[in-house]
Amino acid sequence: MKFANLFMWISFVVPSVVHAGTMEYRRWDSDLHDVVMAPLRASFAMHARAAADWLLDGPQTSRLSRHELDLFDEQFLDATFVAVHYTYRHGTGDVTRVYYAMSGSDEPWPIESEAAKAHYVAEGMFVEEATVVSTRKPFSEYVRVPAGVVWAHVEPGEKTSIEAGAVNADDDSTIYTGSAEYKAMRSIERDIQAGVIPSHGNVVVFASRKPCQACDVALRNFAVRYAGDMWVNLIDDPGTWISRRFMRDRQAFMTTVRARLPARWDRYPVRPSSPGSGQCAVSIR
Amino acid sequence: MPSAIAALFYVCLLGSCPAEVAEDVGDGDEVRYASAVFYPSPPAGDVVRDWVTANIVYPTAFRWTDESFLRRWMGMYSIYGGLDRQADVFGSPAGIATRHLIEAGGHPMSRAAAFTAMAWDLGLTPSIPWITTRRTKVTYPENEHARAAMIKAGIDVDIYRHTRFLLGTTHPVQAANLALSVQMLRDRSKRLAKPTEVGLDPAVVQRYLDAASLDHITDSDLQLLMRELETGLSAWPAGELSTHEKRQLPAVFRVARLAAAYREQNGYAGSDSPCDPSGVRVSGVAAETIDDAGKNLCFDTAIDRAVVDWYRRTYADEVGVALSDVNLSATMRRIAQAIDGVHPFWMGALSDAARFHSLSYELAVQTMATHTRDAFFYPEALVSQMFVDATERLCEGGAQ
Repeated sequence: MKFANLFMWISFVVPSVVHAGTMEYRRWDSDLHDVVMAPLRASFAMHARAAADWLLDGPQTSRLSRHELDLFDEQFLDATFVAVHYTYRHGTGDVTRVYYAMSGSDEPWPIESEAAKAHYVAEGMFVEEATVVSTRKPFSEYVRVPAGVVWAHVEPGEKTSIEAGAVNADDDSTIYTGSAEYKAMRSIERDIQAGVIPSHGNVVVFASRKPCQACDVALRNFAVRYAGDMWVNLIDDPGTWISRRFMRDRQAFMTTVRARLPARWDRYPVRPSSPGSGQCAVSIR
Repeated sequence: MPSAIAALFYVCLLGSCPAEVAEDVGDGDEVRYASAVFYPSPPAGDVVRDWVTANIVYPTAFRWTDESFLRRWMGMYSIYGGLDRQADVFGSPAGIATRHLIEAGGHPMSRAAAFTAMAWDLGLTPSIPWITTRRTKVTYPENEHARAAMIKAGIDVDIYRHTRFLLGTTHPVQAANLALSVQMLRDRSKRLAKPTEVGLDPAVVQRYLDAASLDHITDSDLQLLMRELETGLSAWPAGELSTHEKRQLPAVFRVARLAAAYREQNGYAGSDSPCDPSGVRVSGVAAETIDDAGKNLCFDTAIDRAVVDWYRRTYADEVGVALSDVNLSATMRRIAQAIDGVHPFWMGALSDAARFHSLSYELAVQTMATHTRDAFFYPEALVSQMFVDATERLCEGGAQ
């Protein structure tokens, strides 16, 4: 490819007797034109913005410590993010539907219940845990999904043929429900089964790290059953430029979450330069 | 060329860094740079990145902020402000190292050109027609003010013209967003051998140019274009050249300049033109400040940051009002909603108001920290400070 000298490019073709198209994996260690970064950042941003709104809407926000916010950040810094472009022919043109997924549970960790409990204990009060459990709306109502995009998740109790492939016996039995790759594949399958989109479209997958074995099975089974050609673009191992950049992009983003919290400069990793600042003056929706 | 950059710094840290780099030669515009009104497109090269890196390696007690950057580059900030070309910013150890890095990166340029390049990237330059349009064969639009702004925004004529055909004369902001998204998709697709294998479809560009009306642009294509726009608004141009072989502006300035081009092409009633044909603002007619009610900005002389301020207000008047208009046509509502759903990544989790901020010095520094290939020079504690500074700047309402 023209840009082969700009980054390491590894691909291989996955043989299959059923799958008519090709399936290629590419590992990226650099990305000068934001080919991989752009969809992954968009997937991350959709999830992180929702979580920020969810956090600010909760009780005890003003009591959160830096440590607790570090825990909140951690789930977004550790998670796998996936974006999938599913393109199919419709009339005389192509139509692309985009899916964004994040690994782990769909709802963020309820860190503030721990903060509230610690506060009440410090005050010498006994509080039933139920009193500090969030009274927020369901998390799904915080997710602002851009037009043309699908928030990929797994519905409880769904039946699917994607996981029928061999799964390593050592894998956690919940791996499918928490896998970003699986969430994305299952959401596309759901749309195909519902007749929203036809099968055997071309699939471009972007993933923020190498898939786990079970996640990989989901990708391969999906390719066999539902895809035309399929390209899987992966951020290479930690330590590469692109991996470090995606991490720093996320860290910068999470800094803006802290700026929206009630003013307490100690929530930042470092003290803001403006004395007395710490609360974002920008109006919060 | 990160290894060369690292090697250069190791040499400098050992004390054998040469005191001077090659003297200013070469680009033929050196004499003209001394003129306060001459703002040619600086040559390629990521000067801001090199400047930030050099200032990390050679720190001083002086703290660079957006305010101090403006003071050093412009003196007093003004929407029509010129550059203070007497400022010697490349004489310090960090400045000398910056120029070494520029050379190591394969883009040697004079001090004056580097000074202008940083001003260009951070929104301190105007769009003087006779300067911007020289050495190009572009003849459309006939209005030279609009043509200069289109060229500075880095938009091809066919995309500019067709977007005006689709949107007419009364939607400069929406036209700018659509045209820029198409240009960005075209530019990125050209750089990749097999763009469809990474989710980019160049056919979207041709379908857009073939559309006889906005209704012929499919929802899928419109959304792909908006995702492309989001990507472009989040990116750093890194001193690359545009389709017109001019230095590419950061996208926040491109979209504002392009909206100004569409506005300029409409012309002004009677003798209300705020600029004379050579791009000089007409006293008493042109707005003197961004809040000068009832008067138009002279876009030619106004710096890019001022044009962004104008763009922000025009966006509210055009897109904001449109979205609240119950009588808005379904076609225009679809376009306005698509554009209003674009969120550059750097705004993070802040409110929608943050997306209209100009590019500040702090935000540029944050971009360098996230994009750097030389992580050694960007330790985590320092990077965290950069992120906080950029966020605080966004919270304060962005740059000037």
